[in-house]
Amino acid sequence: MGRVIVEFPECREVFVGDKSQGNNRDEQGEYLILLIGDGLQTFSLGGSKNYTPFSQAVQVGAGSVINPQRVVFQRNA
Amino acid sequence: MTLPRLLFGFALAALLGACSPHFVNGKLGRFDKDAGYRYGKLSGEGNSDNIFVILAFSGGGTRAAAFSFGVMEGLKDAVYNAPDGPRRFLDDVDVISSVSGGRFTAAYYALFPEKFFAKFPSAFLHRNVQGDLIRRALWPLNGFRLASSDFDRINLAAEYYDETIFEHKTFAELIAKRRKPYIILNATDMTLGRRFEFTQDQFDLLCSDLASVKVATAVAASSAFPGLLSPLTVKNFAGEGCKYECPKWLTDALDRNNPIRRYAHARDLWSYQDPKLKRDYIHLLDGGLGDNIGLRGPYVSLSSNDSNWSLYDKINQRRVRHIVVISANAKTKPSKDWDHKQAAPGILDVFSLVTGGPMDNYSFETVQLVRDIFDRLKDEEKAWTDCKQLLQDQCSGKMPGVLSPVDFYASELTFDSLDDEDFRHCMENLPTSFYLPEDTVTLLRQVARLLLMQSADFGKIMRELDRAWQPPAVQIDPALRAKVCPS
Repeated sequence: MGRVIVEFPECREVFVGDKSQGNNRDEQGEYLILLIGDGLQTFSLGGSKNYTPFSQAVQVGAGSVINPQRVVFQRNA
Repeated sequence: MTLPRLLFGFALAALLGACSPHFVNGKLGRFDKDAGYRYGKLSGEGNSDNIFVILAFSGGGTRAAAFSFGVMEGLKDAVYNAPDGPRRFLDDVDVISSVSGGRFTAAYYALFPEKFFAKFPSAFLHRNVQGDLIRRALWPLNGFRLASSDFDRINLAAEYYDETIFEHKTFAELIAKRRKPYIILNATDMTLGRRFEFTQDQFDLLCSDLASVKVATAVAASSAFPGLLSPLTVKNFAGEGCKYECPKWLTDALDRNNPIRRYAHARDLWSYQDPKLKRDYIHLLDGGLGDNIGLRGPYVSLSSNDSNWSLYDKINQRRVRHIVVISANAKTKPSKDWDHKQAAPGILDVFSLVTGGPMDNYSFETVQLVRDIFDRLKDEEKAWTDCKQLLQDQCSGKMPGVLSPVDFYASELTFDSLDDEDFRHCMENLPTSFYLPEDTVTLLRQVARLLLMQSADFGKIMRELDRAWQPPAVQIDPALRAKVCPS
């Protein structure tokens, strides 16, 4: 199992494959540490498509609760 | 009617049967990920995912069915004070995964929840299923039917279960009910040697509609013990197409750069769709061969996102706070006298070992895998909480993220937990059969309830839900015990 934080400036719904994993941040704006199965996983965000990359395939497995793996999305300029 | 005319009639019936193949499953017109028997389509009154309860019922013929029924009786009696009033823990059950004997209990509960406790004993537990099946097989007309290439002993068993126990119900009935728990009836794919479940997620891969499949057929598939009953054959319509859309997790898992267990699991699933493999017919055997405690499917959901009811998904969505797994494992440990004799064990003993031995070892490992994943998640949560505290105290710092707290409880109910050695020995030597005397069935029900109420993890979750909860007293009837287990 891998621990992952999905970084994006706003609170957004996170999708792994085609399934929702809830939001990337909690009500206080803190990043939520997601529990993701090891191996190749495709991440994307819900809501407006004003971000890049549109989706990214990531090898999950390197992150822990102390030092989660980071999947970063940028807001389009 | 004269005998020759009667025989001609039988022969004609058999010939016609052989000419028009009959499949137990139908084709799916068009794939629809939101239709059919799936976890996401079910709900339960007041049963949210907050407390996620998984039951796993093992194989073991009537012994396993009676044992799992006793667990259900215990869950019914385990009442706690919920915010909106008294609530039975039974009503919090989300998923029941079962194999072989345990499937009768699971399927009957899913189909007939209202009359389950009143009728299941007479409908199945007290019935001489074994004797009835033998009588049916020996009936002359069935001799002709069995001569047909698409009707075998397993079809005869399915027909019997359909008429006498499951009242001709199909999975359409379960879809229409839209009611939790989600029932997973497991068989074993002979080619892959892996679990095959009767859910729409599995049948999508075959481009087949589970709705038209009789529940009795699914139950029979899992009791197709090698040698005793023939395999059950289902048609794979994938070659004819249904516009199947492969879930993204499966596409990702088919990449070679995945952990080998994930990749192998994905390849097995894809084999039903892969046109190169031409798997037009899928032959199913006893579910116990692939997993004799029914925990393998839940394990995938408990340890990955690779399932439509993944617990990882639910934890991430912060919808689940407590995860409870209760495994009703009616495994036995029959005494062997081989080691007292120089003569090698006979062919039946060897057959029994090669079919049952690996199954038991694998079951033990599966339970351990579930415990390991729970332990790891608990350890991680503790490490995170400790680090957070340390950072706050020592550096006024913050952790890089927030963890959703989840509690995990795993109870494995087996005869191993019986303190009294003689009683344990008696229970562990009960036969695996589709007929047990009524006293033995009643005793098994009492033992199951006792083991549930004595389970440390079950007590923990009940007290977490209701601090004042006390387990109801469960007594083993001494007279019954003396009758079933004479000293």
